[in-house]
Amino acid sequence: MASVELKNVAKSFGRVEAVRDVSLTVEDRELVVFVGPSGCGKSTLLRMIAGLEEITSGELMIGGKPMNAVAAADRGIAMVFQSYALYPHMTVAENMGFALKMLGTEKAEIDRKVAEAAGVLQIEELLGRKPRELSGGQRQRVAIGRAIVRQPDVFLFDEPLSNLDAGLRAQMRVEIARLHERLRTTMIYVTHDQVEAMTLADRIVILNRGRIEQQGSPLELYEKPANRFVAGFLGQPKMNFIPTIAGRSQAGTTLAIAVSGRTVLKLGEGVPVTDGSEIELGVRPDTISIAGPLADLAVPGRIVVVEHLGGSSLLYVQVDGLDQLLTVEQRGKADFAKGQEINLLFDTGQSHLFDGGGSRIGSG
Amino acid sequence: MQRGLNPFLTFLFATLIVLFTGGPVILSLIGSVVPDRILLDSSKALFSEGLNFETYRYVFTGQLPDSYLAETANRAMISDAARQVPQSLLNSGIIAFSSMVLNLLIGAPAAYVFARYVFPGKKLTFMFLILSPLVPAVALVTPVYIMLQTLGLVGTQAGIILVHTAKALPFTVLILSVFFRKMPAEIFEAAVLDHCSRFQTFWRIALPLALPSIGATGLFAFMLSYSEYMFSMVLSGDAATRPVSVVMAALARNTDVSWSLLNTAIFIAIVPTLVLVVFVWRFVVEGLLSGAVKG
Repeated sequence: MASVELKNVAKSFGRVEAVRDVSLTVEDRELVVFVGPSGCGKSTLLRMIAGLEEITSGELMIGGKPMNAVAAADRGIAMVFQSYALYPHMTVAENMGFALKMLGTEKAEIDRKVAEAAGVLQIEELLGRKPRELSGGQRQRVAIGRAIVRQPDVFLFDEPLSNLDAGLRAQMRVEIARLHERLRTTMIYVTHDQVEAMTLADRIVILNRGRIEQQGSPLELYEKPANRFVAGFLGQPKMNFIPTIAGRSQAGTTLAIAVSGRTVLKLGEGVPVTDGSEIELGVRPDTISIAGPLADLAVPGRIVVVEHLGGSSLLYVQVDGLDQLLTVEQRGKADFAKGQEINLLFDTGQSHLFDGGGSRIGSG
Repeated sequence: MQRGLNPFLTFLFATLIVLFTGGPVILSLIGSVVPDRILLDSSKALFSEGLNFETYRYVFTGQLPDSYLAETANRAMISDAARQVPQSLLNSGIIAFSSMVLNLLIGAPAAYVFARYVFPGKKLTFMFLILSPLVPAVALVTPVYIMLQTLGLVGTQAGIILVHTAKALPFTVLILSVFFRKMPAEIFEAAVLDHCSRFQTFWRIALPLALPSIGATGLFAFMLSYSEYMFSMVLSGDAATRPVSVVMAALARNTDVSWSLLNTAIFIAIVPTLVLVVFVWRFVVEGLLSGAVKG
């Protein structure tokens, strides 16, 4: 059991800065997910914690002890790799017990611990097999089992599910969540999949270009994204972004689509926007409602594509003055057809406003 | 694109390959069991007198074939060099085996280091190693001879073993380093996390995974040494230490030599390699196949 602390940690490969000035504390027993687009430095950060990558500057503490100079094997961590990294020439049991064997643990003790971990993961019947005789999901279980056997203070997962198909991924996601519940160990999990991040994490750390964009609980990040990047990254389907111009008058503040000039939203009191400033309006697809043509501030549009998902439908709507189609999510069995004209209504309370630099100003 | 090859073309090429590789072996086998008087007499069918093992008897026991006991027979056709074949096989076996073991002992760790570590001068040394076989062996005979003479190794098997090891080493290192480089880095990182030292990572992870390649390169080193002639000839001493390639050359140099005897010696010289290839090759292929099945 241990916390992980990063203080102003940075990593450069030659001239390329992969991680810049990251400060972060992962509390004891917390499951923190590093998420971000590929190349954002999330895996590098994890590998620095593991000791597989040297830390260029800054300090790393695990369980309150400085770890910069400690060898990877002695940091009290166990890592699950994306490719599983099982030893092909060893059986499952040998794979799982290898670290203990290298430490000189007695055979009986190794067998006991391997059996115990195999029990947790329900892979007892696989112990005598070689990795090549296992399916992807089974290999991943063995890789996790190998980590469990070491009884680490911190588990590190490096995109462990990205080689699995969608169904298996969902199943393993639940299993990892249950495993965390059961082991109550600090876990750091790296993924590029925002669904994995949202469902697994106690806390999400969003990385972009080697920096932390924002960290917080999944809902916190979903509801109050600090900037346009976070807003666009989390949420499926993605948030719609609409370039608008703010207008202040005695009647209040309004936002109008930049190109067409059509007013789309009336802002509440106290939203700090100046007259004529460019504001990017962020609207999640499920907060857009469909109104009658006479409704105040309704935005007319034409449906270009309809995707029926069963429980809900996704409408891709062409709106005058916008380059990109707006995504609208409708719950229930909605009856919409391609080419249909509809009127959209944005919800003031659930809209996000971003300034020119992409920072969030507030909600409407 | 059509998958697979036209079966007729496959068969044709397979036949051609067998003709050129297996053909000489078969010919020497036939020639060794048919006496000279039939071999050289076109009017007689090949096996009209059945199989004749007299030349084999001579090679191993020294008892002359019956036809050469006659007064009129040309005794010079039965070359004494043929009597050295069994001993030379043993010598070649010792030399080739030692050279193979040395190759793997030195080559495998070297290949591993070239494949997985960065060190000053890595590119230069690797280049040097890879380019060294391009120097014609003839150009090296004199300097190598002088070197080994200073070391007092001329005329000993140790000298030949050293030279053969050096000749095969570039290939061993090149082939094995390619194989080590292909291994996924994550496996080695997992080993590091599992408390493996550098040597243990090599010994417990890399080496077992590379066994098929090691088998293949070992076999290669063995055969390179077994068939090497020039250095063996220059460096070998008396009949007791002479390798088989030198003895075979001496035998063939006798223009009067009995064809049957020559073929017998050739076939005996081939047998050890044949046996080795059959056993080691099966292991190598099995290993390569099992390594190829992944997903």
